[in-house]
Amino acid sequence: MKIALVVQRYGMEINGGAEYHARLIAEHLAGHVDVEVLTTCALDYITWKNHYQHSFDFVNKIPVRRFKVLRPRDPVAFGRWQERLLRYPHIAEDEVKWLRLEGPWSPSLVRYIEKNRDNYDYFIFFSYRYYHTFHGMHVASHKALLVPTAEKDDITVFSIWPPLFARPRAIIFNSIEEREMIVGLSESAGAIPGDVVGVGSNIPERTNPAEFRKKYDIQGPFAVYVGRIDQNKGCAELFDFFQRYVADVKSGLKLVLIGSSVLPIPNHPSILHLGFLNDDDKFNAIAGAEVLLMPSQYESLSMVTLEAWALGKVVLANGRCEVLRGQCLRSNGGLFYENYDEFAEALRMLEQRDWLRRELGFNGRKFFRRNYSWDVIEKKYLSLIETLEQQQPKPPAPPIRPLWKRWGFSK
Amino acid sequence: MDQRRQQQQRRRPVNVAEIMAQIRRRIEQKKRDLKIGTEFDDLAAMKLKPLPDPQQVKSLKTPDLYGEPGGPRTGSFSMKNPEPRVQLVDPFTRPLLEFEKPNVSVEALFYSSRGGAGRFLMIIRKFTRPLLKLFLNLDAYVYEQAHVNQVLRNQTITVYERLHQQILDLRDRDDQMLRRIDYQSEWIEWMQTLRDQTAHYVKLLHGIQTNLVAELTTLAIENQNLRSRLAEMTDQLDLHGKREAIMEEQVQRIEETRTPLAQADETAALAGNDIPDAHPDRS
Repeated sequence: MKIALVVQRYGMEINGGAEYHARLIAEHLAGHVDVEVLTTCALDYITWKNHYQHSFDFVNKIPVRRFKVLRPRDPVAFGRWQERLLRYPHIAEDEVKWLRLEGPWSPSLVRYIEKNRDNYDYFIFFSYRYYHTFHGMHVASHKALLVPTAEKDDITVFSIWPPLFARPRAIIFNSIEEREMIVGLSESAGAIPGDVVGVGSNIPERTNPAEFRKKYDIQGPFAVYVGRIDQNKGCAELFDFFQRYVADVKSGLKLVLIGSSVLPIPNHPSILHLGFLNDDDKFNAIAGAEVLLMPSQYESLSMVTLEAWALGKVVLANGRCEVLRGQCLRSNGGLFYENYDEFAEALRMLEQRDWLRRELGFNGRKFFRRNYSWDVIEKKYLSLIETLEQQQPKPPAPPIRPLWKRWGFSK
Repeated sequence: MDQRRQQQQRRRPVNVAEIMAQIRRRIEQKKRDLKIGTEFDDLAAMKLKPLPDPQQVKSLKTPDLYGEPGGPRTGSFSMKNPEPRVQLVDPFTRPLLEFEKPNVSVEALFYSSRGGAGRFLMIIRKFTRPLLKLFLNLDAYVYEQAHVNQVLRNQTITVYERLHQQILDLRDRDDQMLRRIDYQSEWIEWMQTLRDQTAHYVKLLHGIQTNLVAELTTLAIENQNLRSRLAEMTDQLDLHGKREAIMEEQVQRIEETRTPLAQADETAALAGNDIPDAHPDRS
């Protein structure tokens, strides 16, 4: 059996989001089936400029086919077009144009899928909101599995999504909240086979928090944030809340930030920015922290949250993100906040009560092992594919006709 | 394995939904407390304005207006000693002024002294009157002069009437002004009474406010002390909890040494339900 994973970016340099999710899934499924990755040459997610030169490559022994991005994204034009669509009435073609402007615009990738769809048994498309998923699922809908990685944001109101979610043969959700949202958008998606799977993480057997403290000269208790330091990730609000908390509670807690920053970091003695760290240091930092802070409002599945739970650490998450809130409630492994008062009270409670941190961390680890260990995830993917194998195969979609045929000039 | 079982027995079940509800209840309580605190902050932040000194308030009853009691009056108005009014004369009933008297007769032109020479001259003028009338129209001259005098009289009367009317108007305004001054002086007296009362109340409120601020400060300090004591007692409680756990472990070890076979059986019976732990050093 040969499976193609279709994703917008792929590479060892990418350590987060749907791309990292896809890489982990590809590497773990490779032990059971033939896996090939179809992606673009882009690395930068803002402009999607072509970065990788080779069209065929191996990443961690996984074969990867890369296709050129026809035109990089113009962020200004894209933002203006999106604003126009969100404000004014429009037609579906405008939304298709939005996909093209959003990028990565790689028609060669879609053409490859169309021409070679018989050479693969299944295509697993990652991230519903990109050009390759929309058009790729049109040409290979009879073999398509979708991993939507959807979060509740403004563009979910577009009219092109309900037919898109009705198209694949199976949908693999990251969380129950994501499934509810997608079924709410498209009733047909509820009838399609699917499961809440998510993704695991390569957790080290042993961690060494003391080494991390010594290496980065960190003393005393600290909370940790891991991820891109960005306005969209809720980091500005986190900085504000944390500084107010330290001033109000007279706390000695420090905030350690791990990740590249696109946001100015406040010059505060309790806030330490360490930049991008390797996996060992990252896991050591999480293991040594009192609590992991997850301020993002838009998450379909926070892998860092799962990693913290895997290490038995409690999480304080943004409660306005339904996915994180639901996971905290289901796992009993973390608290959440929706405003500063809740943030301060929850963090104070976690900081001052050792037993509460210990119990929540224990519950989080139990939740991770029952739902997100690689054995469980691989089993869910394979059983879903087995279910599809037993079903009646879906007829392939007709090939895309050229424009002159669609407009009737061939007669 | 047995140690882990003990840890699991010691575990307190936690429920995130209940904890969040507890957090929200605490926030609500804190907000209710803070409402009083906010009022206190407002009071503390309120800038106290200096109270007006009643001695520095310039009274409208100044010497500029009424003069010092018993001193020379500098103002032009006085309610108590008004100026004596001039009685105006009705222009239509007054006696004629000198220039308004009727003109002399034309015959007066021929009059002369009463002596002999005068009589002689009058006789000559009487005989020559027709000749004079032939060459000079003296009547026309006299009547022309009389007409001019009449016009001047009429104009003078008109000006006099206007002046009379203006004086009457000014007297009316004078009366009105006196009435207004009476009313305003009463109003000023009433406002002075009110001002004295307000100054008294402000002094009273200022005293109450100062006492309240002092009382609230004392309460805030007491509150802070109580919180510190609460935190200290919570720490002590945690410490006692840890001590309790350690002592339980010690008791269990003692029991193990006494009945090793029974303990081994129990461990074997419970081994199937346990959850493996990848990081026993941190759990």
